[in-house]
Amino acid sequence: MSDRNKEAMRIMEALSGVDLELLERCGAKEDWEFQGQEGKDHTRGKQKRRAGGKGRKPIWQYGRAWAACIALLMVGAVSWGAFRFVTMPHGSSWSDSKAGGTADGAAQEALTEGGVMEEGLEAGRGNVSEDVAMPGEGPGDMGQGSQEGGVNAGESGNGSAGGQAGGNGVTQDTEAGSKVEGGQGSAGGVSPGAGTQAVEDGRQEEDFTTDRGTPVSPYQEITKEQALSVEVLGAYIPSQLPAGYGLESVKAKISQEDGSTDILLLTWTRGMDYITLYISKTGTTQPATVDVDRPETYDLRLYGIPYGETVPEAYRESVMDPVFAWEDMSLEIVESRVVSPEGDAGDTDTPRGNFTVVYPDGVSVRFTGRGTPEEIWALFPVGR
Amino acid sequence: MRDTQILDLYWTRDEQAIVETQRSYGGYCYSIAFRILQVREDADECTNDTWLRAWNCIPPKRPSRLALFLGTITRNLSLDRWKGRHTMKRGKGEMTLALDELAECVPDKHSTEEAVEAAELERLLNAFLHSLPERECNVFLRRYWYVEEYGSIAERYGLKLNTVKTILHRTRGKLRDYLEREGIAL
Repeated sequence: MSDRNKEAMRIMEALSGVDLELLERCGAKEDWEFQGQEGKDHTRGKQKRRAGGKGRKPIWQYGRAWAACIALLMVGAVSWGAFRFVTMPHGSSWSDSKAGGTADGAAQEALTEGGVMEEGLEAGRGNVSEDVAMPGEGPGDMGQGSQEGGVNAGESGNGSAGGQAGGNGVTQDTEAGSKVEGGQGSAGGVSPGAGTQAVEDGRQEEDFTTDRGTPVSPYQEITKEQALSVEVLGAYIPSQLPAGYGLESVKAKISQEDGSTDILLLTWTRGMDYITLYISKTGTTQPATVDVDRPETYDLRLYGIPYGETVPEAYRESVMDPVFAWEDMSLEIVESRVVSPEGDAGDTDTPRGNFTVVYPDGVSVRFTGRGTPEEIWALFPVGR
Repeated sequence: MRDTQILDLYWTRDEQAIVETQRSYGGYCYSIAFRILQVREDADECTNDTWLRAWNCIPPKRPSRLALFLGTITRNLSLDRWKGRHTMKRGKGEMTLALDELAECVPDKHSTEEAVEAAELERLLNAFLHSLPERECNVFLRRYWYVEEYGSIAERYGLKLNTVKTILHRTRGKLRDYLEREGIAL
C-alpha cells in the first residue's frame, strides 16, 4: 500500500468513530431493520437496493418507467408496421402514391439515362431536404433544394441529382398533388423507376432492403484513391483543399444497371467548418442555369436573413440552389454565393454557401460548405 | 427481540444473546464486511468475530444503539483484515477504490508535523461531518463508512449517478481543505 493510501486508511478507520446519529441519519437504521428481519442468508452476497432509503418500491410504482417503455414499444410497432406497408411489393402503387401522374413517365426517363438516381423538384418550392452530410448551411431557412435548375426549371427532365448523401438517404418532401419535375428517386429507399421497370419486366421488384427489411444505403464508402480513379467524375476532385481541411469521408453510388459510378460524395472538415462536393453526371439533358447578368436570381448579398421573407417567390429556387454554367463561373460569382450573413453566422464565422457548376462534359459539381470565396474558387480550377 | 432484551442476555452471560444478535443483525453486519472484503469466507469470519467481540465487551459496555455498535466492530475487523490482505499488493473492489478516493483528502505533509492521534482525527472528522449538509454527509458516509457502490447510493437517495460522484468529489475536496486548515498530518 502506498504511503498515501496508508494515510487514507487512517481516515477510513477514523470514520468508525463517527457519531451514531450521523450513521442513523444516513439510513443505517433501515439497513439493519431490513436485513435483520430477512436474516443473514437472504442478504449474503447481495447488495440490497432500495430507492430513497425507504424500502423497495412495488413494481407498479415505477409508473414513469413503464409508461416510457410502453410508449417506445408502441412507436416501434407503428413505425415497423408503416415501414413494412411502404416496402411491400404493391407493383406500381409506390410511384403512384408518391407523386403526381408524371412520376412513372419521369421514372422511365430517369432509367433511360443510365440509371442515375435523380430527384424531382416541385417547381418553385425546392423542398427536398438533404441528408445530414449537407445541412442547410446555405440559405438555411428555406432548406436545400435539389438540382432541378434555376428559374427555367419548368419542365426540364432530369437535373443533376440533388444533395444526396449516404446513410439512410435523402427524405423527399414532394407535396401531394404537386408536379414532379424530372426523375424522382431517393437515395435510401426504393427506386420508383426501378420498381416500375421491374414490374414491366415481370421481375422481382428491385429493392434496397435487406432480408430483414432494413434499408441499405446505395452509397458505399470508398477510398480517395478509388474516387480519383473513377472515370470522368474523379477528375473533378480538387487536388488541394483550403488550409486546415481534412478528408472526412468519400462515398460513391454505383449504378445498379452497369456498375459504373454515378455519384461521388466527398466531405472535408476543419473543426466546425466543412466542405461537401457532390459530383455527378447530368445525363443527356443539362439542367437549367442561371443568367449571371441577373444577380437578383442568385446573389445572396442582395437579400437578408431570413431569405424566405426577403427573396421574391419568382427567384426563390435559383437563389436557394443556383446552377451555373462553367463558362459563367468567376470569383465574383463565388463571392455572391459564399457569404457571412449578418447576425446569422452559424457555428463558426467562416463564410458559407452553396452552388452547382455544370461542365460541358455532362458533369455537375455541387458545392456546399464553408470557406472564403477565394478558398472555394480554388476548388474549381480553370480549364477543365 | 428488542435490543434491550438482547443486551440483558449479554449481561446475564446467556449465550442465547449471540443467537439473537445473529438473528437480528447478522445480515447487516455481513453486508458491511462483504462490501469491504468482497470475499464470502472472510466476511463470514469477520461477522462471527463481531459476536465474539461483542460478547467480550458487553458488559461493561451497554451500547445505546446496538446495531451501530456491532456494525462498527464489524467494520473495524473488516478493515484490519483488508489491510492484512493488501499490504503487499493492490487489490480490486470498492474498498480499493474508496481508499484511492480518500487519498485525495490527505493533506500535504510538512516534515515537522507529527501525525495526529487517532482520537483527535476522529473528533475532527466528526466536526467536519456535522458541518456538512445532510445529503452530502449521508452520501459521504454511505461511500466511506459502508463502502457502498455509487449506483447503490444513487438509488438509495434517488439521485443521478453523476450527482453522487459530484457530491463525493466536492466533499473530499472540502475534507482536504478542512484537514489542511486544521494543520493535520496523517
